[in-house]
Amino acid sequence: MSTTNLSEETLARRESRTLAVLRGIMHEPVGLIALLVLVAVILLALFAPLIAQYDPLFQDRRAVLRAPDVVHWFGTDDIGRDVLSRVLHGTRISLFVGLMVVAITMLVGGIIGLISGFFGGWIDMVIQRVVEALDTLPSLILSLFIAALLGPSVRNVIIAVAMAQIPRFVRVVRSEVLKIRAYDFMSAARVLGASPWRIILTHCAPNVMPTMLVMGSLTFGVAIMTEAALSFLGVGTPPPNPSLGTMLSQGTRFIGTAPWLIVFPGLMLTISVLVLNLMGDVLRDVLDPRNR
Amino acid sequence: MLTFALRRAILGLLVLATVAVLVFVAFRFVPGDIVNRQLEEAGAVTPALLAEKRAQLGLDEPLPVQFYNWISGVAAGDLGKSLWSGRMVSDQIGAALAPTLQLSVLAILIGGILGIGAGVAAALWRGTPVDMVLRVASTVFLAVPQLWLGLLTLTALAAIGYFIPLPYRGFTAAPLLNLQQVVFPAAVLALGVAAALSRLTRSAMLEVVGADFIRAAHARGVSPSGVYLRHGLKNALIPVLTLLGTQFGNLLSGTVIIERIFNIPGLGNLLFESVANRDYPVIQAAVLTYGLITILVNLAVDLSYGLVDPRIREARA
Repeated sequence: MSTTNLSEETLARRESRTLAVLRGIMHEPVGLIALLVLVAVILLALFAPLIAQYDPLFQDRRAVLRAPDVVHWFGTDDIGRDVLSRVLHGTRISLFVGLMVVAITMLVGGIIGLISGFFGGWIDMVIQRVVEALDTLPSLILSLFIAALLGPSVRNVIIAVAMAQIPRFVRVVRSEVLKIRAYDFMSAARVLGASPWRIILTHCAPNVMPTMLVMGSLTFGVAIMTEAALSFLGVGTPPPNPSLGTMLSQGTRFIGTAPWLIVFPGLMLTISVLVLNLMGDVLRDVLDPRNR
Repeated sequence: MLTFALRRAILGLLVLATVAVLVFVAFRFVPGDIVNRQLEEAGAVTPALLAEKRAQLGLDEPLPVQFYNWISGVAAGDLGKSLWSGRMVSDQIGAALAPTLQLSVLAILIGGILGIGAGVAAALWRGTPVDMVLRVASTVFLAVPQLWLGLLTLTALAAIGYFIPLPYRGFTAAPLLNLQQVVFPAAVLALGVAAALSRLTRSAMLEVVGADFIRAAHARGVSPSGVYLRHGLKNALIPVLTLLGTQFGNLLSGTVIIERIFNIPGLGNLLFESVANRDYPVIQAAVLTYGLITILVNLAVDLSYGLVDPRIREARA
């Protein structure tokens, strides 16, 4: 009986905290606008198959390189595919890759960072040397290297992009854990006989969560940009999938003649990254304990 | 100072060695080895051919021996031969390094001046329309992928009928032509750097401007420009320098894309081509070169702290 009460209480508390964060976001005009645009982008991506009037792979040979008009709002490409439909489906892939990258980075980076910070010693030493080495390589070059090794597929792009983001997560989470370790409640937990894993999960993890959420939301935009870059270079999402990066790469051949092939996919990419970055900034302001 | 520099250099070398090990190990994790994949793509896999190719590349030796062979070659400056063109990898890297370095140095110079200038201006005119415009611009340019910005630049140039002359020529061979080819890609890269720098410079300046020694300088009758530049900016410069170092890494990522778009035969283009051809020795060497550049830049940033802040200089002495 008492346990259910307790869990209900925690649940209610957690809910109110989520609400507080949301209220904080909406309180700022920039946050509100960014949130609205982000919701719009997510809805467009989610319902792309319903919204798009054409199959993104359908080639209409009678309508090749059409400039934007009433029939094809964003024009058509060199083999007669509708650019608007492809942009919508491309956004779907971008957001999916971004979401997966953030989830994997937070999970893997978080766990490694917690272990590194909590246990210290030789484990920490080994992890830090590897992180340092990976951090030395510019992130796109690391992603390109891994993507090239694994070969082009959506799954491999996700791995390649995440691998380049994980080192930063590990470093930040580790330093947070080092700070938390000095608090009294940590020694109290140890004295009470809690196992290391219990301490990590129930005391460390919740305390690094705000930092992780902020970093995660800022990683989202980076992940989407990197996916586009990898696809542009031909090691990302493989064709015929309508990835925004692949579309830009195909558009380069018609740069003087069909600018709509460059303008619209890039615009969608920029808007997505912009609102995600803005959300990250606002989230940081709201979650940062110094601002509370 | 010298011992400090030496210690940092040795640490940097150790990190580079770790990178080399990781790169080497990563290649052994690839499902199906290099030769197998190459021959498969050529459509001719026979056991005899496989064994011959493997022996040729030294892939039939035990792993530690292979690593020793490779790393001792690297240490002696011998990076092996390209599987694709048969050229020496070190020659290819050497030729590709100059355009990339020129592009990044130009971009970091333009971006640094633009970004720090914009940051100082935004801090001085805080709350005015100037500040607003600069802040919005920096937020937008942080979000615009350089990939798109580069392509838009080409689109805009094509629209006014200007086409960047090709093929690429080095600065020493044809200075004027080279500048025409480099200025647009450098500007695209610089905008990203400037956007990140201006934000940080603004907040660092605002923190410093509120300090007592700034008021004291005003009271002593130092001219406003002297107060803000010599007293203000110099004290706000440490975090800005740190960011400039990390921005260099982003800049290098950007050059891969920008070199591709603007047809500049730099390290990024070499990496791209070697990835497309699965030319593993070249990929390995290019990745290692990027690591080396980053380590050198970090070293330079570390040493420059001492130049800016005498307290750091003394602590290290």
